[in-house]
Amino acid sequence: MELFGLAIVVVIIIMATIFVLIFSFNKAPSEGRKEFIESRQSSAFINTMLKVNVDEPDCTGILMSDLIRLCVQSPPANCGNTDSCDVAEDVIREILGKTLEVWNKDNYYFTISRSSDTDSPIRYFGTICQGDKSSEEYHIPGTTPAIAKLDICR
Amino acid sequence: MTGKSQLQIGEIVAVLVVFFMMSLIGFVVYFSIIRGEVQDLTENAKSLGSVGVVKIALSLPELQCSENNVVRESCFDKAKIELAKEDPAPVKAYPNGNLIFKEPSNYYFDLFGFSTIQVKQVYPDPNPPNAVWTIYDNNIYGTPPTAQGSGFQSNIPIIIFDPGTRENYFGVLTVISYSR
Repeated sequence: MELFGLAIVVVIIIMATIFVLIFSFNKAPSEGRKEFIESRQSSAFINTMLKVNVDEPDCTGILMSDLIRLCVQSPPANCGNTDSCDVAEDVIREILGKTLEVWNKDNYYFTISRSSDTDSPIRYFGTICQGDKSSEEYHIPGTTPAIAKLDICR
Repeated sequence: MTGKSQLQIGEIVAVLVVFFMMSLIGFVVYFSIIRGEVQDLTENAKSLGSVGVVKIALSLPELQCSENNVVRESCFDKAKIELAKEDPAPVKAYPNGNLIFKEPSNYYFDLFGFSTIQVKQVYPDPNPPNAVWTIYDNNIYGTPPTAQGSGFQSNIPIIIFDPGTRENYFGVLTVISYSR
């Protein structure tokens, strides 16, 4: 009879050990650093990009934020002899190609839209995030207010 | 009678042996789990340490932009970065690189430890192309800085302000923190 009781105790202990091991191995690793860096990248990217001085043929010296203000007007204004939206798109695409796309972050979605109609972005880059994302947006005040938004998908 | 008592003693001994074996297995499993958790905590501390280096690098007064004594956030002054070009004898020289804090003195080692900090201009294209300023380099692996071995690399967009032309460029601050 004692042996029967002992066998039951052994079985219970083995089952408890299995549950503990399953719990330990399935614990998700901490991602504090990754979340901080992604959050910082999102905000720093937009903040930096909007303060950059454009250096394109026929459109030089203007701030990106001013270029976007010209772009969101209806109809869009020109920068020099070139459509401001096209210039902004070229600059943003160049910057994205040397930054987020190089850092193995093909999963991003960057949009420029009028504040009054954020569902229809004037220009967009990347693909819409399906799951979790780190998101930052920047409001550009002006005659036609605009919003620049960056989502980094996780 | 003697046989019966011997059987009882044998049962007790068997129970004790099984008990001690179970205890031993329990201790082995427990310490394995604890060791795994300690390794996770160590890795987490290292990754958060790299975050600390990034934050310090972004707030270095030796490189920060300021206007009318007001510091601009996430902005490096290009003139301050290029001061390294005047240095006649850098300790280390990398192609297209200028080492500013040319030796890992105790002061900067206390701040940055084993890490490499670089600034690169992304837009507009710099002259020369692919120019990289190496601000600090204390690579424990002893080779030109790359994200190799055990390390955490962080890339943060920053403004590079040119005080001559008063223009802002798009730059990237790269911090590689090494761990043994």
